[in-house]
Amino acid sequence: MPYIIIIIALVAVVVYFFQKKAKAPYNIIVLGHSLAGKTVLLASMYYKLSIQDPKVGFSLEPDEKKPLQRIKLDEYRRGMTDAKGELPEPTQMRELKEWKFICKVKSTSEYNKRYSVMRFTYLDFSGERIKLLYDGHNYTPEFQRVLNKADVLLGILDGQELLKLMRNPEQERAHFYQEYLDPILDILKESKQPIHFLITKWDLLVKEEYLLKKENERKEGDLLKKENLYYSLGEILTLLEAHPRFRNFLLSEARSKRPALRLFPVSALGPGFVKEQPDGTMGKVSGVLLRPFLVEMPLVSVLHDRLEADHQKYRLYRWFSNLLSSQNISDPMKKILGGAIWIIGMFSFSLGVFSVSPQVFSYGVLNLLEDSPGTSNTNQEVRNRTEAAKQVIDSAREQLYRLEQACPESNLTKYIARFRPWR
Amino acid sequence: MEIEAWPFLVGRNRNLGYMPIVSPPFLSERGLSMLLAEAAGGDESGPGDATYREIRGSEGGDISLIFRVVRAKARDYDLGGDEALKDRGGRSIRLIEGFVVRGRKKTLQITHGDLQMAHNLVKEAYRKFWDADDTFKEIASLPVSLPTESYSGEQVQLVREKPLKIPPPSFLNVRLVIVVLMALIALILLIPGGIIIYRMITPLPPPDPILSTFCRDLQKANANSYKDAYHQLSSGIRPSLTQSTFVTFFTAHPVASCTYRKNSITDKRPFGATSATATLTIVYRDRVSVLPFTITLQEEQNSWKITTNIIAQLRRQRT
Repeated sequence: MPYIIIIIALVAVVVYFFQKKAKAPYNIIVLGHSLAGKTVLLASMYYKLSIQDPKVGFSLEPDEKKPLQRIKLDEYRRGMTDAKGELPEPTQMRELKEWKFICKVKSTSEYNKRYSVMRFTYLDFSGERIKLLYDGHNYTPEFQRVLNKADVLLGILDGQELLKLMRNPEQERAHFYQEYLDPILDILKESKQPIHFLITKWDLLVKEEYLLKKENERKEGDLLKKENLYYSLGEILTLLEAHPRFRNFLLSEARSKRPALRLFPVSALGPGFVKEQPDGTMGKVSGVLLRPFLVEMPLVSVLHDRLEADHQKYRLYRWFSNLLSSQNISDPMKKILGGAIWIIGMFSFSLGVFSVSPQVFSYGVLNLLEDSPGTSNTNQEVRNRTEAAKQVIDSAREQLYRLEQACPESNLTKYIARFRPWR
Repeated sequence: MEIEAWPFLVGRNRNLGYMPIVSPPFLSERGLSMLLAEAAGGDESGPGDATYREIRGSEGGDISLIFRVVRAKARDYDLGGDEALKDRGGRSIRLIEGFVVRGRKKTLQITHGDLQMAHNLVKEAYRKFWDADDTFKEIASLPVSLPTESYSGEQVQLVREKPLKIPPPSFLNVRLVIVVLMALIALILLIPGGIIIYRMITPLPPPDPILSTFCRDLQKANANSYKDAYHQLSSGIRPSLTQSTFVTFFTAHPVASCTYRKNSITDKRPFGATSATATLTIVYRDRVSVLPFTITLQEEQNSWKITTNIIAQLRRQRT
């Protein structure tokens, strides 16, 4: 009897910690130097995704437990869209902002019902911290803690600085590598989490002639075409690869088992929205609308990798459930076996293909035990969380595929494997 | 009474990000000036406010900061007119200026004049910093005296913030400890779970071999075979039916034939009892027969054992 009580107590403790972990959001950390555009990217991503876009398949909502964050995000949005408003202020050194969001998908069967497919935290901080870490300062324990708990890392390359580099490579190269690339690579090479690169301020690479076109003559895809750009993504990549540390990093990534390393050109404001002023600062151009470009792609990619991995594991467990159903085993025994697998899954975070995140268990195995409707999603019906997650995966796959077609360099892992002779 | 205070300034310019621009020598000499940027900042201070924040556990000992966050105007730093100073991205710059004092201060009376003095002492440094494009080495400040009490002048409201605590280096890997504990708990849970699953998936053998062995041993009719037959009895029945009683009974009544017929099996594993019933027919060598009687068997350690008191039944059924 005492043994049973101890087991029940232990199970209760484990379940408590497990549930806590299941509710923990996915941590996305952006690594970029000061002025790279981390906060503006966040504000723009929220602006674009706060309403569900059919192409993207989900919408973004600030965590309901953080009402002040919603107010701040709305303030950022007003600052960006108002002609006289200011872009989000630079993040101070002491600020380590944890922006909490929920990705939601509209139900097709119930009016006004939305399914949460993923909670995530966007960790925003002052870019100087990257440099500090690179310079060997070790008294940033909070930042270190944040880095340790990251689930995915986004390395930001400032488009404005890249443009300088491309225009004058001989003179700018050493400075760019040392100031902007090496500090990020130093952190990325140590990480075990998935990684993506972003080139911010892509609008600055768009040619003046394109900006003279009428609004209705412009298409989003035009911003990836060589004829409309001062430098294409391929040309930029070639110059970056000239830096041995970056090249070696790509090479090791191409051989790693992590999800695909991607490179996204993004513009938080869109072409022609800001222009360099005589005093060297950027100012808004009157009459130009805010048109964020591909700002959703980093999140789409993160969601895709994460949900796809979870979904595959969920299918594995679903398959096991079906196997159980096909056997002549009594119902209570099925539940016992399901429960046993659940316990094994809880402790198998490091068992490779058999590991299951707490999040997938929070809905996956519950479904498994509750005889949920099948996962067939041919009509894009969204009637439960599993189907919502499936829709996000399908939309994300489509988006990533389209981007890869327009711009093969966006999937760096594949691109390097195919096209780089120095491999 | 007066205390020593060192002016400090944290800020940014068009190209360089937030960093300490003016710092006390006891911090800059130890490379700890960045602590000022870690601790000081926030939203723009109200007109009558300033912030008080302690930094505890730094290599330079405990220190306290008194500061204001201001939206920088060019005129205030002799850099132009009324326009706001902006970074390269066109965003307004906030500056943090104030004093550093050693130790923790429970009571402090700071006036607008004191903060204005701090501003005057750092603005020259900011002008130099404004022109920096690439790097900038912070400027060491000289101490000034601040009265702590009975001080005339318009006092500012000090808003106390939670101290910044610098944790000491830890030698214990907390993560590792948690993983080991979780692994132990998993092990404790998985052992009984594994046993249960093993018992569920391992098929229980039929009771026939036990009954057949039992009958064969009785028919051999010697002391050793009776002992072997006794081993087919369950642990529950043995206290009331000892081996000597069993052997003595059958020595006195040797068995000529023993046959059985299996009746039913009830399987309630893993949590319930599993039992079976059979009908036993025994004929003694003296041709005395007993009426067939029902015996029960129970699963014991993945095998069957007889739970019926055979001797009592034989005595009762004797014709």
